[in-house]
Amino acid sequence: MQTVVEINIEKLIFPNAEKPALKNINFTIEQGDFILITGGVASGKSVLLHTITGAIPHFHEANLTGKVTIMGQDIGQVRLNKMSDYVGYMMQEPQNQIISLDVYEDVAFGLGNLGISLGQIDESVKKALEFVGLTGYETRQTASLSGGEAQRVVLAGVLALNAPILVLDQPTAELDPLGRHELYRRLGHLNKVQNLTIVLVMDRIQEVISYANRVLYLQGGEIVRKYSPKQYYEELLLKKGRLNFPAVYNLANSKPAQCVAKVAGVSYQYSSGFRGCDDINLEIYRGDFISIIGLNGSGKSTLAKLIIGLLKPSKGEIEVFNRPLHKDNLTEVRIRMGFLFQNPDYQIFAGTLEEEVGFSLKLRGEQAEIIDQKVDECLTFVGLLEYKKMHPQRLSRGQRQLLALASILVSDPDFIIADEPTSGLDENQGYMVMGKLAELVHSGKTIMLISHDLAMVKDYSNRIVAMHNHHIQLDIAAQDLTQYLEKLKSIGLDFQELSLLSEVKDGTC
Amino acid sequence: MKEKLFRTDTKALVGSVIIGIVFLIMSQVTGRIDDLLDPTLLLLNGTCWAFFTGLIALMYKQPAGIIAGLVEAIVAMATAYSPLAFFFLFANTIGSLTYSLIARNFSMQKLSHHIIAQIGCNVTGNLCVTLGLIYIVHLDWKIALITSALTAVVGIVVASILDKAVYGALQKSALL
Amino acid sequence: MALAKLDPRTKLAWYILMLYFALSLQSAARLGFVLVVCLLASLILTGSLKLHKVMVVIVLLLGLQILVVQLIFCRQGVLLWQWGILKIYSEALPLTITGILKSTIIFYASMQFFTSASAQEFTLMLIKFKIPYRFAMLVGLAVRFLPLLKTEYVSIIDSQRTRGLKMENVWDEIKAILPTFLPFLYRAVRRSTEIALAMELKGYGRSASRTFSSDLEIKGYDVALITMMLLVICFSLVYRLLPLL
Repeated sequence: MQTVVEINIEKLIFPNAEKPALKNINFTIEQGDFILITGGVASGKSVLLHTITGAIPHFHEANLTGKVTIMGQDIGQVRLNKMSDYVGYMMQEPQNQIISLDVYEDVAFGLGNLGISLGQIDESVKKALEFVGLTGYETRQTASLSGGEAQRVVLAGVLALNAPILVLDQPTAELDPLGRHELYRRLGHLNKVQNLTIVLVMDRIQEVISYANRVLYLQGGEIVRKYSPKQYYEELLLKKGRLNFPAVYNLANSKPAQCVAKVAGVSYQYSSGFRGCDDINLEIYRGDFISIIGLNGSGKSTLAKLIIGLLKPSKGEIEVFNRPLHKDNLTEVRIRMGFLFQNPDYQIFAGTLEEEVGFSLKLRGEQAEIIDQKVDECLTFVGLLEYKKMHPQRLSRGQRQLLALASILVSDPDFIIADEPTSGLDENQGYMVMGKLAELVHSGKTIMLISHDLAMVKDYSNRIVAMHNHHIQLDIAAQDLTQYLEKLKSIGLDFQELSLLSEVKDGTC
Repeated sequence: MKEKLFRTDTKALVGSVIIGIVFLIMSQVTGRIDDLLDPTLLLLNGTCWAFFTGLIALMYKQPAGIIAGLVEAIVAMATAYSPLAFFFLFANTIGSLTYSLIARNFSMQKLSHHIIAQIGCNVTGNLCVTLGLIYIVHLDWKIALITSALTAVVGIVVASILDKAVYGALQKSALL
Repeated sequence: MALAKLDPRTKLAWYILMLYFALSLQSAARLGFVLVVCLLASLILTGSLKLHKVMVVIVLLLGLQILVVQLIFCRQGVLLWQWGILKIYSEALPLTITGILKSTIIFYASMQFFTSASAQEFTLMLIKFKIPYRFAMLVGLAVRFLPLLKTEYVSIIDSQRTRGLKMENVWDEIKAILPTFLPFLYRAVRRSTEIALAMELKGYGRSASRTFSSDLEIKGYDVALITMMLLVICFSLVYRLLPLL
């Protein structure tokens, strides 16, 4: 097999950084490889990718000791806008990679930059769109695409350039299970049938591992383990066995308990005419660890926003802590609630981590000593105490997610709504965060989790609510999950996929 | 370290458009608050303008500062955001250029550097707006000059402080 | 639709002509005539004035803004009414009317121009003006990301409200500017860096020119229209400047 990328990095350090972001990285990528790179927060996964795409040193300033070559060429000598001859690059947010207003123009964007003829462009665009299953979408406005469709348009734009290596940085972080499965299947096809070399960075890789041939685990900027997919799974299962929190199937017991939130006949329609929720009836009890699942656009986030009073129902009524949600009592109700947005960057604004975590307490007029104490406690819990004085924007995506969680926990809320709290975290950290949420449930708090991570949902919830087409399709005790697998599969939520884990374990994959 | 005047890399060009849109949205927010407080002086709006003109010129140099200003002015014109919107074209362009020409001579580490750059930016920019007040709103030139001078004074003081703080925070954040 | 057949350069010439009249004319009657012509042009070229209906409210608000300023500051004409330091003079209303007419012409003409063509056509127009494509294509970028960023700002406000940030009165809103603006700025910088990287890795700026999926071709009637409009501006300037010589 031909070596396509050779990476020898002694040290890579960013300006004003104390520690190197990468060190002692030595490996080669062979043609036809499907490499998964994983690791914890701030492990250097994305930085490593940037050394392959040429973004380091051409786009992000960094001091690199060592050499990275691609198809025999020193990356330092290849201009960034010529890298498209060698690599195609996809990242987490499809909306940041779509440049044009309609699908055709966007897929043609890179081809147009190459200055090739219109005829050739047309042929390549059509071929790429056909491959990603979007034939007929040519004139669609890119703003109207769903998350999964947008990511497929990005993939088409990258594939149209015909680069021999495809580099992807968390491309499925914003996709629902169906969207993720679709993308992995296409990547697998490209790798097996077209011999495309794929390097994929993911936090949690269990869904895609069956397509890969190598797994690299990074920690503190170093490759600490190189696995075969089978070895990785065996180790993951061991860890999971240790970390897994026993799920508390307490739906039956919790019913007589205090009702924390009651949603009665609630519908919501956005001013654009888009239906958010339709005739939702839901009661959440104290001590519930309720998971809301569903495909993108099914109404999960709308429901969460309705419960916290960010949206006012078009029809129906919502009670939280036995009080009808009303403009006048919103501030009071919110003091007892915490809402963790999927994107931590929506809330981080302060100059230091401690200032950020202490913000809500400051707004409530808490004393400085109490704020300091609580901030330290929360930062210790999420493992960020050592960065207390650092600018939050210097943290990695996963660390910012943990910071946002700390900012919520600091107020000691009775009812927490968490929208994808484990995004950006690896398996270990994901389970650590979920473990903490489960602990909170045991101490009498209530958690409403919105998640696409069916494994986490299955392991930690006591109730699972599945939404489909803006309705609640199922509201079941987690212990009864096995009875509903087919029904869930029919709405795009395939818990049976999780059995892949045991297949790998058995060596059948 | 002296500031450079030009930057034409893709990061600066794209940044000019994206931060130009942020500039526009924040202008709308502060403009709305101004309308509630005092629709004549537009102190918050004027400060917002001065702050962004300075910040973008510091972040992405020129022509990014001018591009961001044009994005703001063109959308303001097409949405009837202000009767003076047409004059924003000139205020934003000339204000941004003046800021950059002054800022290139300083390290921009001290508040005084920001104040000096903001004086140039506010004087030139507000002069353009004064012309609008005279030609479009038909204000007497003395009154137009006084209101613009007041907006400029507030803009110079507040925008300098904000520019120093926010630009400093952005540098610390390692996002630039 | 006749409008779509016109080259963006012809539309630009019309826009410049309207701006020229709005800034140079002083009488309400002439400004009113220009506004009517401007509206008629829309009616003829697009077949309806539907687009302008929604703008009536905006123009009224704009007019109110000018009226308030005039009532406070105008000192021309006869004193009609006085209450403390607030004095209303007879010239306030005529000056308000011409002010409203001028800003309305600018606004309508801007609306006409910026909604008359696609982002791609504006890009191609700039390229015809010899602007490098790396700059010209920023037009499309602005149109694409404006709604996305607006939505994002609303989400950021929501996020901070759930943390206890109040937005109940003007003072609250002023206090909320920094906690909502800063995440917006950080996020925008992060976003723009990602967009720029995605563009470069797709070969943006690789060479001095690129292939576009369409092109602009100026027609004979476009040339004739542009020439006529430029001549109108030239004659008008000569007519104004001659008495000064």
